Amino acid sequence: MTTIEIPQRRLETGYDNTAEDCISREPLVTGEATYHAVTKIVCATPEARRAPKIWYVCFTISLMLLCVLFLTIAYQVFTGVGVWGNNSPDAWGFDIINFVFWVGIAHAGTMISAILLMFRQRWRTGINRFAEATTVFSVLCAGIYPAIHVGRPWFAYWLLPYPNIMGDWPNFYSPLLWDALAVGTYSTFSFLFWYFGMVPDLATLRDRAKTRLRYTLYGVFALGWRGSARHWKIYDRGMIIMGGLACALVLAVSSTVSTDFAVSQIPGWHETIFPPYFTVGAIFSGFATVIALAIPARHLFGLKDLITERHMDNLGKLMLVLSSIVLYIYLIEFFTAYYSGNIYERFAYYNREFGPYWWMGWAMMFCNGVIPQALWFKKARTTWWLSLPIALLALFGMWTERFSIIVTSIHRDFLPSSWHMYSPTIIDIGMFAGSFGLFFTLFLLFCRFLPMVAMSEVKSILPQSHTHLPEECRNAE
Amino acid sequence: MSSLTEKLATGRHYWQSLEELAGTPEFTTIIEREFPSRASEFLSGDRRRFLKLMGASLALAGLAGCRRYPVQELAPYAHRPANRDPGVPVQYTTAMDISGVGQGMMVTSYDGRPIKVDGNPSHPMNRGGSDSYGQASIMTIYDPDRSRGVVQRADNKFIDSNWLTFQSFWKDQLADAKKDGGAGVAVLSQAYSSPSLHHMRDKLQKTLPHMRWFEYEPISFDNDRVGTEMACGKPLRVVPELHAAQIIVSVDFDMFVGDPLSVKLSRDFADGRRMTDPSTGALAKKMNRFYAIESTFSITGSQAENMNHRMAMAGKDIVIAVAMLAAELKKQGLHLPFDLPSMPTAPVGYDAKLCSAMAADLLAHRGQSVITVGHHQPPIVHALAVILNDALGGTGRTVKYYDAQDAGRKTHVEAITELTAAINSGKVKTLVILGGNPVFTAPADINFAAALNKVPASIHLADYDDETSELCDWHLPESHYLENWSDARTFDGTISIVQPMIEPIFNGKSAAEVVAILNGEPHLTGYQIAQDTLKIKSSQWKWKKALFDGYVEGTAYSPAHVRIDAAGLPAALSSAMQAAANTKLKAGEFEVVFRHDTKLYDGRWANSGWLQELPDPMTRLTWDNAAMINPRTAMELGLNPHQSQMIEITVAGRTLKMPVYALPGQPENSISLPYGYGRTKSGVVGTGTGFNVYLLRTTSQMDMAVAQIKPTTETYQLATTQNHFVIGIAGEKTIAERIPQLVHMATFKELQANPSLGHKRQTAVNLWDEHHYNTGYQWGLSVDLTACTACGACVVACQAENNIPIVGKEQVLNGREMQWMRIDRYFRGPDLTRPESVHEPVMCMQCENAPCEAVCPVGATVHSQDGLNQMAYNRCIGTRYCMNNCPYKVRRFNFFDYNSGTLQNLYEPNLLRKPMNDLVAMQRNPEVSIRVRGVMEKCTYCVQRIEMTRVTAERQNRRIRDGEIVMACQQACPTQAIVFGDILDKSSKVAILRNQSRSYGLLNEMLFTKPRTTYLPKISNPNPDIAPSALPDLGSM
Repeated sequence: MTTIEIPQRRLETGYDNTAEDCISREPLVTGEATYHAVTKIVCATPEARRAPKIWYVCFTISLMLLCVLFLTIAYQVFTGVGVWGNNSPDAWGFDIINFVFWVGIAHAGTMISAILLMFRQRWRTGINRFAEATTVFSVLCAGIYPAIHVGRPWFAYWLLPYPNIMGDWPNFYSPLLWDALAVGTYSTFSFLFWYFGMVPDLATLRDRAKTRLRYTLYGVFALGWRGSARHWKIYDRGMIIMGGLACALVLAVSSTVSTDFAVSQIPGWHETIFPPYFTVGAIFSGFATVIALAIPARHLFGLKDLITERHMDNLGKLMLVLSSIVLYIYLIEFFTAYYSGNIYERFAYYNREFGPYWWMGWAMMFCNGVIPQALWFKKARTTWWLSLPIALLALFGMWTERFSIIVTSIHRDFLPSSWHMYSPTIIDIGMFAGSFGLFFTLFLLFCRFLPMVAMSEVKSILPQSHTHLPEECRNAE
Repeated sequence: MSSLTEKLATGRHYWQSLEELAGTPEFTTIIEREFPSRASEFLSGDRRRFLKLMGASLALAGLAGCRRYPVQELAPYAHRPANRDPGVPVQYTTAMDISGVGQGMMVTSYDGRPIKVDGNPSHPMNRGGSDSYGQASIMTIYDPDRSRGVVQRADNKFIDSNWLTFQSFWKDQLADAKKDGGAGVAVLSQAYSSPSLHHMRDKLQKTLPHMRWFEYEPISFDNDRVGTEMACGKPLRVVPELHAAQIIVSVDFDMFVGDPLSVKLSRDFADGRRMTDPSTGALAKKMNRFYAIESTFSITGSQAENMNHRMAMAGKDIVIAVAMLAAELKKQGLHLPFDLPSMPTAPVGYDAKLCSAMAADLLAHRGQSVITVGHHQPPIVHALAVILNDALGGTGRTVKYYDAQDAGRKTHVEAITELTAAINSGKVKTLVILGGNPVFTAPADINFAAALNKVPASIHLADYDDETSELCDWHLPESHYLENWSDARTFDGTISIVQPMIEPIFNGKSAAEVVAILNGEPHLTGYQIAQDTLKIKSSQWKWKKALFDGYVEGTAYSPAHVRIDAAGLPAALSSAMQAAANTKLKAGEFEVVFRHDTKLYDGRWANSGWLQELPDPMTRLTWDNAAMINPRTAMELGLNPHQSQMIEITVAGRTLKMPVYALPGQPENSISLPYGYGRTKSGVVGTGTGFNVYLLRTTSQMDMAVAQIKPTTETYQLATTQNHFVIGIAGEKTIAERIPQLVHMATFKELQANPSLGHKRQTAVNLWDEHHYNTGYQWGLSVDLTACTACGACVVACQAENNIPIVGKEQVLNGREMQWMRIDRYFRGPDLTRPESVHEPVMCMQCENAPCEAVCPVGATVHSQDGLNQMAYNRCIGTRYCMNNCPYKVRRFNFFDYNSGTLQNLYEPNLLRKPMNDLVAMQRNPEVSIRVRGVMEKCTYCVQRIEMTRVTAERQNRRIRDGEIVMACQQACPTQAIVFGDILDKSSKVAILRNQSRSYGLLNEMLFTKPRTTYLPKISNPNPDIAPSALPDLGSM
């Protein structure tokens, strides 16, 4: 193993790997950036006898929430959708809000892995593994809702086109069918993408295993990876093809989800801007999730050298871009509604900001459009106690956005005689909290037993992987 | 048993008929022993056993009254009785009695179980229409809470008993009573129009000459009686003939809902307003004009041509307004047979301009104008109206009078007061209460309940084991009108025969049968009594014809000869006006007006879930009553008009706490209190709903009183189906913007000038080839908003026809009501005191471009060839997307399993619950599936009726005729505002109405849904001398 010589200039400027000047910038991996060090850091957690205390605390809470999820689902399935707050005209409430919310979060992983891969953003390697994990787990959370939100969940599979003796096909005009297909494809795909990417790292864990059990388990999932050149060749090719497909999916899934609304004719839903709007919003919330998870992860599991300030800085910049697009869309929606001259359309948007759910409307505006503008400042991007609240507020803002779109639009639609308020019940809230339980249970298990950072990929961006480049450029990407 | 053995053993004679033997009490015991605890079988028995029992009773129906061994009749339909086709509905005519007024009804019966009640189309009064009470009456017969048998109270314990025990008890009583000619016996009866009952009463009176018979009804026409007596010296029945009237002035008369004459009045009224002749499409050349003076904003008042044609004033001041109208008429040249006293100052809410315009209008239409007065206005107003109508030439033309048949009867208030006094003085040893619920409904000051406790022997015949039964020694189950033979008379005297559709489910007896028992003739059946009374033998053609027609021809009374005798009137009028003018309200004092509830009537329908959940036409309130108060008054009292806060109402020392409903259009100095709610012992459904206003009603103030109002900070949740919350300024503005698009309105003059009303049909340019519905039948429905009075009969009819469950107050609060059709109400007008209200029935529009169909992922809602938007319930998985996308919000979702279990256990896991109660299931229409939970449902234009007619037509190899298919809502509609048919057939009524250029589809201009349900605009006929409706700021509360 070679050791890296730290240039004099860098020693003078200190540890700043967020500098704009790529020459004076610290490498993406800080600290003792050797292959072995990377392996050591990443494998430390899965191989530790005990996890940090805080992990047990979090895991217990998550498990409890998960139980809440199971109980509420069981109660709802045995009793009826009526246990929720849904009514007429608010046929959809927390069920679909939370579905769209989780689908949105699910966008970060693929976005980072696939689109940033395509754009050759090498910094993504530090965060892509757990970003993908958030994708897989949040798609799972999202997937619960369409299945159980229907009145007769035991027939939810009728949504899918499958040959059956009734000779019945689903209605291919219905966005809900597109939705089921899109989310189904996305969850399958993101799981495979995540898992294939993990195979070399699982092999590393297998090779380092000290007990029979670990050896067997990691061994089975490592699929016999030996790290031969041929393996690497197939692996690389496969990942690039999957990445290409994933790019399309990132754009397609939220667009499809948005058609649930855009294809309808409810003022506030019937918008052609919805597909890009939903996609941007989804990615925005995805990045917020990654920031919100990366900050504790790098502190708790000692990943500061792999997920550096530079990563946080870049994530913050991306969030800023997305937030600005979201804000633009909010404003253009209002303009369109006004410019349409349609009294129903105008009222829908007026009602969003000044109706009974005004605070939801303003919360979405501020949390998603205004507050993230702080990310123009580098300090806000790289200081955890600034970026974490911004990210959490953005997540809250995105939830209120879904509430505003879904509930605020339908609770006052065409005929004023049917107007009715929506309020969630304790079951709704329990189920939403429970879905966090599911997410965090899986995420904590992932942190504990699987390689949280893609070791093989991080190693590929270490300077010593690029010995053929002039030294000056080895750290630039 | 011993006497039966005796009878058999003596061998004195053979019995003449099975009935004779069956009629003996002992024999009945044997039968009853064969079916021990018969009632319980309807609760817990399985379906198969139930059907067996039903089969048995069905087979027995031919042998009316005979209860001989059912064993022989249990044979299957191997030999099908003649004219009985399993699964084919049969219709029978019958009659129902409300407050002593008969209603001609037609019952649809399936395999021996009545499932639907409608108005009898051939009946001269009903003409096929019905009201919500008639529609809902079918639910009562299958109410599991209905009284299940004779109950005896002994030592303050209630024990299940039977008729025989009662009869043997009565035998002794009768023997005792006969000794002194029945001096200690009193009967308190509700008003029955049944000649049979009257016949039996007379017989009993002969047996017990000193027996005293009292009649009490909480909703009484006594003011009409006394008023007519004041004007013409004898009590009369007043029947307005609105179809003959051009000018109608309604004086505090909520005539279109909740009155026993509603159906007739609505129909006659609408006939004078229908603008488009459905047969020819011709535009009517004239239209009646409607003015209202009222103390409660009712749907009747909302029919007034515009807000300037309606006076909202305190109930007590109305006498002054009417007197001023009389003075105005006199001033304009009408000769009155008496001198008017001097007028006090004009009361609050009085509109002098309106009054003079009204007078001019009335005078200009002599012989074609009528003034109608509400039953809770004092007699003097009725007397005044009789005289004015007579002076205007209306007598015999626009208003008919019939002699009150029971002229010597005391007024209901007098009767119950006298009875209570008699009880308190110990003169009543035995009290028989026939029907009614006097403990609940009697005036509060006489304390009837306490008196009842003093009676040594009290007997109550009622359909429910209610508040009165609780205090009586005996409770006897009264049979439902669909269970017994009887008869009834409509208001004009036409006799209808009440024929049973089913054996008494709970072994009840009719009032006439009970009086027969009282008279010591327990063997008399309703069948015999009715035939004896009407003197028509069942073998006669006339009997059969009467059964078939639903009424006995030529039995209407001849109109009374009216001779005005106004001698005492000026003095009475003067003192009444003085009394009203001198009633000065102190701070915190308001007038309260007691009125019937539009849904529960006097409280008798408390256990009818359909009526409980039927929104009040004005307040849209379900499951409760509330003090209706002007929003401005509410604010002045420091109440938040958007919240239902509780107020304390104190009338003469009696206090009631009840919530407030801010109803725009209420007079500012008067509060309306609907009674009928607040039952403490009804069934599961009715107990504990609402507030008992009877507690404030006293003998001297039965109709209105002065009350102290004290606001409290307590709030109460009222479940309304519209405007559940604060809408806010923005919301109100937008509603005002939308109303003209949703409810097209115009005046008669505008219509005559431009029949299309400037309505242009827009067509959408599509990017694709549209489906053209131009073959076969294409169904459509037209609603005439001018004819609709918003009474709500259609809503209940739809519920009965389509097996729509009730959901309970909590679910209504959650916005989950299930009614497939609703009647939207919007207020418009700049002024909270004088708004207009418009009503619009909304059912599924069966859009050709149905937004719901495209979005259903499983194709559970699809379009039929004949243009129906259909629901495949079995395919629906309940994504509710269709509900979101329906712009009319007519889709209803089964959030819970509303059909099994009760309203109380909706939130219990129900996946493995037993299906619905067997008894309730009997009402269900077998042609319509019961929807499980998690499934969407909605109006499908009674597709079951369409298909049934189609089968008939196809078997006869012909097309379906226009008018052959009748929707349930259409059938119920007393004003015939709803017309259904094939829109491709240009000569069909619906096509004619639909093709009127002014006919419009709701939201069609914007969404191009191409609805099959279309509306004809609401036309009003304002007086040109009165300011037009000024609606600068259309708004809703």
